[in-house]
Amino acid sequence: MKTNEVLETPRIKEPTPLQETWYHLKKNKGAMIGLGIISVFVLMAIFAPLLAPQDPLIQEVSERMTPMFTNGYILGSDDLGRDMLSRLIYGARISMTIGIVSVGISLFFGIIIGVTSAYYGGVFDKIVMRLIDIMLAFPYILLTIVIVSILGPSLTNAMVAIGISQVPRYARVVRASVLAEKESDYVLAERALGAGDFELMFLTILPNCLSPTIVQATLGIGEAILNSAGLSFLGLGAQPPTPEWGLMIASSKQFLTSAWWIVTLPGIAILLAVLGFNLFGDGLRDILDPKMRN
Amino acid sequence: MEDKKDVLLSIENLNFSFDTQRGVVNAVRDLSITIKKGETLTLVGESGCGKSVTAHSINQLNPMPPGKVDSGSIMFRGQDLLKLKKGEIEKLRGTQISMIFQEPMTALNPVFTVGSQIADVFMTHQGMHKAEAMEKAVELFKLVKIPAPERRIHAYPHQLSGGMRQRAMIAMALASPEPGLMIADEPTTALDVTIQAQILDLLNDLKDTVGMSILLITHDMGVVAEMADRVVVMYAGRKVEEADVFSIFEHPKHPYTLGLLNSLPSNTKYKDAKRLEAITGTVPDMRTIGAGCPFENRCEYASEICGKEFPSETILNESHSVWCHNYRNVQEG
Repeated sequence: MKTNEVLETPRIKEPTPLQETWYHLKKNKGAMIGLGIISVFVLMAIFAPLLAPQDPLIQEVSERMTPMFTNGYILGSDDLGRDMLSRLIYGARISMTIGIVSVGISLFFGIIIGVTSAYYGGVFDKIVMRLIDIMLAFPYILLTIVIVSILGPSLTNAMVAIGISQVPRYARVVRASVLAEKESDYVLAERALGAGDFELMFLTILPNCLSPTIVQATLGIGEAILNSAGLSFLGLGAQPPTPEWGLMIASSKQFLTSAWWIVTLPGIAILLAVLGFNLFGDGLRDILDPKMRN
Repeated sequence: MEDKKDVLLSIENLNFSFDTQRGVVNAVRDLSITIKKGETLTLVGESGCGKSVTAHSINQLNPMPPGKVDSGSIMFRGQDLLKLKKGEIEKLRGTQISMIFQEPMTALNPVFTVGSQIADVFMTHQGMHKAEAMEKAVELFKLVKIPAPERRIHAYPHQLSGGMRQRAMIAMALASPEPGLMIADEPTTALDVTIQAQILDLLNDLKDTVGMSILLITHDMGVVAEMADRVVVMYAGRKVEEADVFSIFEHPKHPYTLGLLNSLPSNTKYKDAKRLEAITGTVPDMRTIGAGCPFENRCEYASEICGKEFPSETILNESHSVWCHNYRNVQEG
C-alpha cells in the first residue's frame, strides 16, 4: 500500500482571518455606515490642525453668535466668537482620545481580572466576582461621579473614572468566554506540551475569547464618548475653554432659543460619533458570532 | 527478569480517585505497568475503565482536585513524577513526555496557524528564534509526511483535514529535544480507516527513527495488533491481564480479554459468518465496586470467590500474567 507518497495538491489561496472578516463586513450595511462615520471622526481627530479653519480657542468678540454660513463661519460662531467648525473638529480629537483611553483602561483591567478569575476558579473566582457584583450594584454614573470627585474634576480623571467604572462589564464578558474555552481540548493539549499558567491564560485561551471582547470594546467607545460628554456637561470632565462637545453644550445651553447651532451642533456630533461606534459594534457582533452569520 | 536500565517508565501500585459530589470514584486501582525503552505498550479497555486517567496521571493532566493520587509512584528516568513540583513537571511535558489526543479536530488552537503552534513549542522549550523554529516546524511536517509542508505550516487548523491535523498534532508532540515517551490517547479513534492505517504506520516509523517509547491507549483490538509490543488489559480501573501481543491474541486467559477478542469481526475464524458476540451487561458503577473482581457480574466463568476478593497475579510465563481466579477454565471460541 502506498500510504506514504506525498501528493502535490493544487494551490488555493486561503483568505486570512482578517480578509474573511472584511469580506463579511462589506456585506453588512450598518457596519459599513458605522465604519464610515468612525473613519471621518478619526481622520478629523488626526488631522485637526490641518482641517480646522481657525484656532478653536481664538475669540472674536465682535463676531459672536454668527449664524451658519455667514462671514466665512461655515458652522457659525459661539457666544464668545469662536469658530464652531474648528471647535467641533478639535472636539473630535478629545472625544476619540477619551473613548480609546478609557476603554483601554477598562480592557486592561477587565481582561486581567476576567481571565485570572475564570482560569483559577474556586474561591478566588468567587471573591473577585462578588467584588465585581458590588461595583455593578452602583448606578454607573454615580460610580463615575464618585471616582471623579475623589480624583478631582479634569479630563484625564474623567477618562480614568469612566475606565474604572466599566471594568466590571469587561471582566464579566471575558470571564464568561474564558470559562467556555478553558475546558477545550487544545488547552489540555497545550498543557501537555509544557505550557505554564501564564502562557495558557494569555497566549492560548485569551486569543480565542477576543471576538466578544472586541465587540464590547467597540460599543464601549461610543458609550465612553457619551459618558465623558455627560461628565463634562456636569462640570466634572473637561474644563473651559477645552473644545469638548459635552462642555460646549453645557456652556451654551442658555442660547438654545437665540443661537440654536451653538447647542445643537455639538449634540449632533456626539450623536453621530456614538451612532457610528454602535452601528459598527453591532455589525462586528453579527460577523464575529458565527451563530448570527448566515 | 528485566534490566533496570531498560525501563523508561514504571508505574507502581497507582491508586487514583476522584472525589465527586456523588461519592468517591476509584478510577485507577492498584495499577502497575512498566514501559521499556523503544517499546510500545498498549492500554486496552472499554470507555471509562481508567485508561485515560492512568495516562493523564503520568504527566499530571488530571484535574486535581477533584482528582487525587491515593498511593503509588510513577518513576520516569529515575525520578518520581508524583513528587515533582508544578514547575518541574511543566518542564517535562512536551520535552520528555509528549502527548497526542483523540480529537485532532479540537486539540489544535483554532486561532493560530499550525506552524506557529509548533514553532511555539521550540521557542518555549529551546529558546529558538521565530525563523529558526519555523524551519524546524517545516522539517517536522516533512517527517510526519504532510504534503507541501512549506505551505501547510501557514494553514489554520480548520483548513486541514482530520488526518492532516492528527499529523500536525504528532509533529507538535515530536517538537521535543529528547523525546522519551509519547502518550497517544486513542490517536486514531476519530479518523477513518485508511487514515488510521497511515497514522499508525507513521507512529511505528517514528518510534524507530526518533527512538521513543509509546504508551498507546485504545479500545480497538485491531490497533493493538498493529502497534503493540505488550498489552495491558484494564477493566474498571484494574489491570486484569498483561502479556506480549502474540499471547494476548493466541492465548487470552482473562474472560474479559476473550470477550474483547470475540467481539471483533474476523475473516478466518468465522467463515460462515455469525453474529458478533458481545459481552453481556455493562461496566459496573465505579462507586459501588466492592472487594471482589469487578468483572464478576458479567463473567460466565464467575464462581463464588470472585465476588469476595480480587484475584492475585498468576504468572503464566515471563511475559504473560493474568488476574483471574478461574483462568484455567477460560477457553477460546
